[in-house]
Amino acid sequence: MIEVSNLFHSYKKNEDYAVNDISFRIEKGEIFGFLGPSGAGKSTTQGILSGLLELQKGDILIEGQARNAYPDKAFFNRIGVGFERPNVYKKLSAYDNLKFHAALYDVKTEDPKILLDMVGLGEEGKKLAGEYSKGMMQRLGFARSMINHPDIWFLDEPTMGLDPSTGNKIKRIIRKRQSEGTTIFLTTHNMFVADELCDRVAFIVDGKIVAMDSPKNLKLKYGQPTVTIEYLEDGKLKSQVLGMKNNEKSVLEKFIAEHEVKTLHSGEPTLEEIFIKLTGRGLE
Amino acid sequence: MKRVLNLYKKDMILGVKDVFILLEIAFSVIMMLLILLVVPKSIEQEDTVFIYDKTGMTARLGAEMHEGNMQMNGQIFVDSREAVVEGMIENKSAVGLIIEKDPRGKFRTELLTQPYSNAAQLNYLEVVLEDIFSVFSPPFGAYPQDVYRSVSVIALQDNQRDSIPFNRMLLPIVIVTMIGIVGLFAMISMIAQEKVDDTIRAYRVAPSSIYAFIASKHLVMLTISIVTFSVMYLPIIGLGGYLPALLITLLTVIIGSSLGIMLGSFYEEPMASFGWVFLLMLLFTLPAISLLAPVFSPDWLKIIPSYHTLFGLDAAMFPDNNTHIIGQSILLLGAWAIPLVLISARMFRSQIRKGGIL
Ligand SMILES: Nc1ncnc2c1ncn2[C@@H]1O[C@H](COP(=O)(O)OP(=O)(O)O)[C@@H](O)[C@H]1O
Ligand SMILES: [Mg+2]
Repeated sequence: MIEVSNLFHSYKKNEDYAVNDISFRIEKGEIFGFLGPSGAGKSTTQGILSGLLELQKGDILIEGQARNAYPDKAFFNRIGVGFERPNVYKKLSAYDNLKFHAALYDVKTEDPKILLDMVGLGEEGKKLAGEYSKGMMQRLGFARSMINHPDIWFLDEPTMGLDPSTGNKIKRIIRKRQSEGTTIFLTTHNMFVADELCDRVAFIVDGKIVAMDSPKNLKLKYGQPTVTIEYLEDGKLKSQVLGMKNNEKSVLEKFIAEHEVKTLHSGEPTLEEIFIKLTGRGLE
Repeated sequence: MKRVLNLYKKDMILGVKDVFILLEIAFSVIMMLLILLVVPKSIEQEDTVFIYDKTGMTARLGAEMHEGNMQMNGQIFVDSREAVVEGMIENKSAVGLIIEKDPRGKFRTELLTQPYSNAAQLNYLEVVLEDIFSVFSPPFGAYPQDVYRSVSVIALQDNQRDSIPFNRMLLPIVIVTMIGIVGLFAMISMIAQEKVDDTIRAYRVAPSSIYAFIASKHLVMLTISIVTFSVMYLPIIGLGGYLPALLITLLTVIIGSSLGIMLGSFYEEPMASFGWVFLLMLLFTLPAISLLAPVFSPDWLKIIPSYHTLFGLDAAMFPDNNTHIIGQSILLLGAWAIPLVLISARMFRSQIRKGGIL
């Protein structure tokens, strides 16, 4: 569906690349995630794909069709973009924000009321967006990105700054849209979001993709299964993490034999642990 | 068009909440009231001249003039040089004139001025003197035709201005400052708001062009300007010349808005562009000097678009034989407006694209 090859981008138009030779493919109906720390080049990549930034160097094919430096109207009619920072008209009501945006499209658009209900703003739709909390504005922007029933959906840090229950609501909507056939590109620096939502994840750091696969495969490939042992020592509960690979088994057995073990949890590594292992950097 | 209307509706809602647009409307009401109620109808000082004429030439002239039914206002004849100076000390706006004959029998005049003497007045006096001498004093005999003409043109303008109340004469200047300058700020402010709130980015990923975006902002400025213009024009002047004056004003607004768009594409904060706005403000009000003192009207001043606004408005408001000035102003302002609209829109688009995503 979307094929990106050897993408570069420099804000200063020099050799200082914010996106440095990135290639990837997103299949139709897939949720594809960019996971990386702040400044890695996630938003820049998304900016180029969504047409905000000039395509300076590299190729983007949408359904086999090469794209120009800036996309055409047909493209904008089929995409939706959710932004990292909430960007809505603060002096318009939430409802008017959506109504205004809807009228920009040539294609059929969604009823603003339905969208507001969907993101939990139905009650406050008549309020000025400026009176919203940051999280509410974020949700309004998220709702706006769905207004034209996009079949390609770009989401930049979609759950950032939201409380867990609202975050879950957003995640459910994303999954539902995916089940309806929407192709989704999302960026996040949150390993849980990447793990829960993405069919495939690309680890990105310093403008380069370091690894790319499904979360499960990444864990299998790079992570080690572990056991977390809670045990009593000098009357205090302590814990210890040990590997489960064949050569580590004797250590594990010895530890269990020699301590007063209370609980045992086998654990798989988190994406962040793998990220650190591959890049030497954390996600924050 | 449907697109632009949608944008227009949004921009009007945002616009009437914009501090600069509110300021513009408030100011226009205040200015209207000031002009109507506070500014005096006339600030014309008596153009007093203290004359000491050793030769008696002017007395002869005065007699002839009276026969020709011409008023000789503000001329006070005294009989010594000292009396001229004393008179000037009393009346700070007066000038002095001393007429003598030199030993060879030629006229010699001395014009005494105050530091702040009105340049137009002096000019006028000088030419009148030239004229008088050419009539009354050989060797010229009959005065040359061209000298007389050049005198009469300036005199005509002066006389005409006398008949128009001063407060109404201020209106074109007020319109240019208010609508041009505050409008400029309002435009920068509207654009800056879209950038600060980042709403322009959401717009850019929708299938609607940046040009429609700009067009709508122009329409808002035009709408607000029609309101502010009417608020000032109708109570002060009435319906006479309303439409041509409105057209001239709106063309000026388009020029101002385009400059606002250019500045707006570089600045995120309206106040950050204040230096430029201030400079433009000076430049745009400069031709007002020429309107108040028509003798000062060098050619380079006519490059400034507001020159044509001022004189066009003046011609529309106070109909005399200058109707051709209205058409000329409209053409010249249009010639400025059209390229500026196009250039500013281009500039805005490329600047917005360069702005990146932060
Ligand atoms: N408008 C911009 N101008 C200059 N540099 C920028 C701009 N936007 C981003 N950058 C730089 O590009 C790099 C990538 O940024 P970004 O794509 O926003 O990262 P991420 O979204 O992964 O946090 C960073 O080093 C950032 O400082
Ligand atoms: Mg980012």
